[in-house]
Amino acid sequence: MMKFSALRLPYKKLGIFLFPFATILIALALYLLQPGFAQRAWCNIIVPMQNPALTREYFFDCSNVRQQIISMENIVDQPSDDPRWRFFTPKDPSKPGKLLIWIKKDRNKVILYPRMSGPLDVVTIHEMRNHQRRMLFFVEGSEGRWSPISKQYVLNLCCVDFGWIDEEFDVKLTINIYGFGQIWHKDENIFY
Amino acid sequence: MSHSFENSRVVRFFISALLLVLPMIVSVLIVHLVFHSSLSFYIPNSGDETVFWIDAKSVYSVGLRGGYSGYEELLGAAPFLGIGTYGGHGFAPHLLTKLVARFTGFFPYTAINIANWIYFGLASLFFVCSWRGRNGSLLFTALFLGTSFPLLSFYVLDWQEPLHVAFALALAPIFSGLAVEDFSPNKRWALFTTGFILLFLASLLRYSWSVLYIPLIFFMRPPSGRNFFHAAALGSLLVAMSYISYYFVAAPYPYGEYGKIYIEKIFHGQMTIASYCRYIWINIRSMFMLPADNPSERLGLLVVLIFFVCASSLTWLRRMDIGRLRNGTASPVQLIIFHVFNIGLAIVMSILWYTPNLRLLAPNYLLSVLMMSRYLPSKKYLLLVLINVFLFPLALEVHRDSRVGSYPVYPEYKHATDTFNTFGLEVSKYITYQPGADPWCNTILVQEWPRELLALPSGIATHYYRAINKNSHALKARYVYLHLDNPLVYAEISRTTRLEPLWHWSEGTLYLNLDSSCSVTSEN
Repeated sequence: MMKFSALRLPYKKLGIFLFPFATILIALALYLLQPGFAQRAWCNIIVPMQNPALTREYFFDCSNVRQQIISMENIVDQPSDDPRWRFFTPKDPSKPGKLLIWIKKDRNKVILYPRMSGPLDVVTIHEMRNHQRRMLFFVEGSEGRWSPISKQYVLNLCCVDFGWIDEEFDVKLTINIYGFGQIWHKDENIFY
Repeated sequence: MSHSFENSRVVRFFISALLLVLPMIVSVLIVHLVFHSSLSFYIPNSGDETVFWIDAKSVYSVGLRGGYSGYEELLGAAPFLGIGTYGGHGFAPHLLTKLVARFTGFFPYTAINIANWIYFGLASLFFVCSWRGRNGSLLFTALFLGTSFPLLSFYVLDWQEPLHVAFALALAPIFSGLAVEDFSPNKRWALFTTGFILLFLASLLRYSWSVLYIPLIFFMRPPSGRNFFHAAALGSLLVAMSYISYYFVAAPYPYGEYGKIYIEKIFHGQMTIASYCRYIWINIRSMFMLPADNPSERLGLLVVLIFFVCASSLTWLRRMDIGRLRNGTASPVQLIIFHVFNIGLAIVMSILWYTPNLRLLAPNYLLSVLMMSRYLPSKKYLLLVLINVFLFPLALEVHRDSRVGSYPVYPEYKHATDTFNTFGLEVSKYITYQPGADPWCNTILVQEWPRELLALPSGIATHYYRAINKNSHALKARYVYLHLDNPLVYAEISRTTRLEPLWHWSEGTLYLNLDSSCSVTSEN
């Protein structure tokens, strides 16, 4: 009968850990090589922590983003001091104002113009699909002062589901406006 | 690693602290930085979470004398025992929550999470105090737990999933102590008793834990075919008793019936042997596919499967190394049997009876990994930590999509809870808990669980009737709530049961069941 010590040598040479761990490594490599992995990782870890506010403060003259407001709930459309621009705000500030919007995902980033007066004024944007929603945008006001008019905020459209695919497709977004928050628009165009 | 690192008490203290706080830090960071929310803004989101919360509140307020929370009017031994029923999860997790809430208070809606965290913390503390592995092995555990915790985070902070991870953590030093350490007979019996109690408690939460009675008993005897037969016979008896106590007492849930309906739904037809075989094949195939929307879950499952194969085969192939390293009494065969019962059987059962699911298998995976890292130490296990790190980004995507309603931003949380409170104030004018009455008098029939039901008065249970279209008798629950006034459901119920509208709410209507024996009593 062969001794165990004699049996152990070939196992060591073959590398006992080699087969199972190589299998795991191959599976992991397939996983990491999936299209869009890097972008999805960036969208899930980095983007939620980024401040969506840009330093730029000016309005675009026009928008070439294909978009349409589908429905509104508890929203009032108010005029601003600038005759070309208006803003949506909750009719009853104790409840969230909701805008359901269709947008064509044909680029990775779009600009929008929210305004907030304090920390309880919040604007969120979620992608809606089936029974799930994905938070794409969050901004809250600072204590005791309105955020500047025409301050630009960025929405990463590439972070929607299958957003890494280089194709055009339709996306449904819900904008929730809380408190006295505002979303500025020109001719009902919110995204630029 | 250097000798001073492996044996230093100061290093061990810091690693222990890391093990205790890392899962909490990771969870807090995810909720704050990714959800822009807070742990205290938690709201039960899905139907399962909602009914879990309602039942926990009921157990906390009125003990086991709440209504019949359950399905299809299935009551098990509850009427005989004079207790209510507590859904598919049973009452055990709610008793554990109540135990903690007696000291901390029962906070809406975080009481379950707080209790879960305390049990998880206690299990971690037990682990670091009783784990006899060196510092390197403790550091591996801290990193593995810290990096796998977010992966399990589908339900990690709420529901009962943290309790199962806690049980796995507490059972690891017990099984490894019996297998690897050269303890005195008294110490071994103390470990065995602790393990037995933990398995008893865990089996009340999820009876699949009870299969570990078999390796636990087997570890107490010298390895032989005869002793394994004895351990299997005694353990099987305990498994059967666990199943009976779970199915008939803790959670009378129509698993078989629902499984049949589920499979019929998948295959658009009758439940046949062929359709069941196809169902099993789909489950097996699904473990080896990486769907684009949720690859991390499937790859996680694949890692568990591969680890199981590795654990069993390496234990056998390196049996001489195990023999040299350990002082304990367990043989490689006993260790392999442990992995087979802990993780192999769980995989097989999930294929045969459920759906292979990382959430369910994760505690078993954790237990097997810790056990193996103890009797066959190697730095190569760090690969498992690395895999966790790589799986994290896409696991987080699933977590974000499914849990955004559970951790809303503050204004959304405030609006939602204000709405629930308004519902609660209004509904309590029509529904009050009746102590000492038949549990059906404290039961409301629902066809879905909208979140406003979270504010039902304590002691009132929700009961679900799936096959309402096949029902041929008057329903027993005193109240019926129809969310969104579904006319089809109303028509189905009113075929057999007379309903009287009590209160219209913006999201539905509350009815009094005139055919309930309670309604007759109260009208008289």
